[in-house]
Amino acid sequence: MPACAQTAVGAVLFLLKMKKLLLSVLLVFLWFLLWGQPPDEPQVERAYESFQKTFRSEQQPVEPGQRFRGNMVPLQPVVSLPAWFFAPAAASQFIGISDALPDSTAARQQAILRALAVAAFANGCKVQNISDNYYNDQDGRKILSKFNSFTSLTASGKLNYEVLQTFMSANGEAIVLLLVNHDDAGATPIESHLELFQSETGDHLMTRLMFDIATDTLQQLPAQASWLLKENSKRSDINSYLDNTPQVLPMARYRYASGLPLPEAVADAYIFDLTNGLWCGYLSALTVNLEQMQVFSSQVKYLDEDYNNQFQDLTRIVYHENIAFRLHGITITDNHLSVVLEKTNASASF
Amino acid sequence: MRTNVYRSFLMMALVAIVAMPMLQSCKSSKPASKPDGEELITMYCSGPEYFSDSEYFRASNVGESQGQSMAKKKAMSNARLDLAAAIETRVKAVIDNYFSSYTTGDAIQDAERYEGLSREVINQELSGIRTICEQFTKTKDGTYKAYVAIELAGEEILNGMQKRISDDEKLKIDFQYEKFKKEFEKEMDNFKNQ
Repeated sequence: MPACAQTAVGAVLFLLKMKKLLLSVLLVFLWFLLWGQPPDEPQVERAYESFQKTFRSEQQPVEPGQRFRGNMVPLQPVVSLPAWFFAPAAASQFIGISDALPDSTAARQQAILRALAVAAFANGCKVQNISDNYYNDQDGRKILSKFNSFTSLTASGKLNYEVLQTFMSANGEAIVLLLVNHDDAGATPIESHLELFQSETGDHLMTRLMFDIATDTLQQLPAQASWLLKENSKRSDINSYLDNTPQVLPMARYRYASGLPLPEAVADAYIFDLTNGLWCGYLSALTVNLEQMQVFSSQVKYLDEDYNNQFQDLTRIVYHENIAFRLHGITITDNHLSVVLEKTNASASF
Repeated sequence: MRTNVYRSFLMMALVAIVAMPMLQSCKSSKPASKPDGEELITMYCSGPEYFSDSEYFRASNVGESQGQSMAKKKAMSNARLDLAAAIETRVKAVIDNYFSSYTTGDAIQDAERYEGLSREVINQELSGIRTICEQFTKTKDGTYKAYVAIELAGEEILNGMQKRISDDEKLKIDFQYEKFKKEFEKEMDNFKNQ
């Protein structure tokens, strides 16, 4: 047998002996390939953290259990909400909605805190936004490849309140209607903060909505509450805390009966899916309507940044505004919620 | 006889040649049909009423997204960029005209100071932008489209430039506001002729 043939036979025998080892290496490689990809949630978080740094440097302004939602999650029975929920509230009346909590007392407290936060925002809040447009050059045309938007809303105030109405849904959500007065003697200071980060590349949209309220032991209420939604086209995660204790939220898809139409026909009102619960839709609606209110001042910056060698051009819009508002009405159609807000003079809304 | 027949034939042919185009032009006027496979596109927030004129800079744009509010943010962002670009072009022309017509003295140094002023004006906060049109549509792919148009009074820009120049110790010495304003108005009037 020639020497080269001997070498070849030797190599084949060696490979046969090493079969198990090679198979193991191949399996490990496949495991990394299929399951080693980072999940969506950290991707949202990384994009958010990266953009937040930019936002802070631009605006020089101003972090919080877990639940997975998908189509396999059970549908909750349809909830019919009381008429006062839809009716245009008086200027000093505010609605708060809790998560679906097993403890009705905790739910009611959470709803009251949230209503107070809404009252603080209505009385005057600072809205700051930066939006980044990343462009690519395609055949001489500028194509928007990526769009990031980060909005921060902050409000504070000294508030007293009286609970006018309470409704407990079959889901375990408490909905309260508060009569709020501010700057009264004995009122407790509260601070609230909202952040909305959205990033879209192609048809991939990521959203992160964060809500936080802190108070100085306001009339037997928790001192701190926070809520966080992270969402992309495939999943939504919601975390909720009361005094830094994570709240156990049921896995469910929520449904609500359609309500009264809006007081005036508002053809282009933003609509928000209520599958993630009434608070999620309500907070999203308030936040988006506030950040999209008529803003008179903005600044354009041409940064011409080479972003990861993927984008050739970056332009940035920066705006900020102080806004006060009055809630004119809420409507629900096909399990989607809309609100109508009217801009008012700061500190004059109630 | 043959000559008459020949003459009649010639006459008829002549009449036919003259009358044919006239008859064609007398055809009943049908509405022009759309070419096959083409659809008339209706652009919202677009058209002459959304063009810049002698008083206002205007810009319209569209944003498309999986989310309704994101579509609006994109549209507003694009429109603000367009508005800024339009303003920058005009302001640059005003500065060039003003500089070449009225400045005296240390011209080279002044030229350097004026250079880039248009970009600086844009980089300053543009106050007074108003939304004059807003429309939403949903596409068959399930995405949202937002159409917007915004405007900004030319006077706001003029005031911003005056402030910027007045803040510059060197430029404000020679700055002749009335002449600058005249150049600005001339540029704004150019919108009428476009």
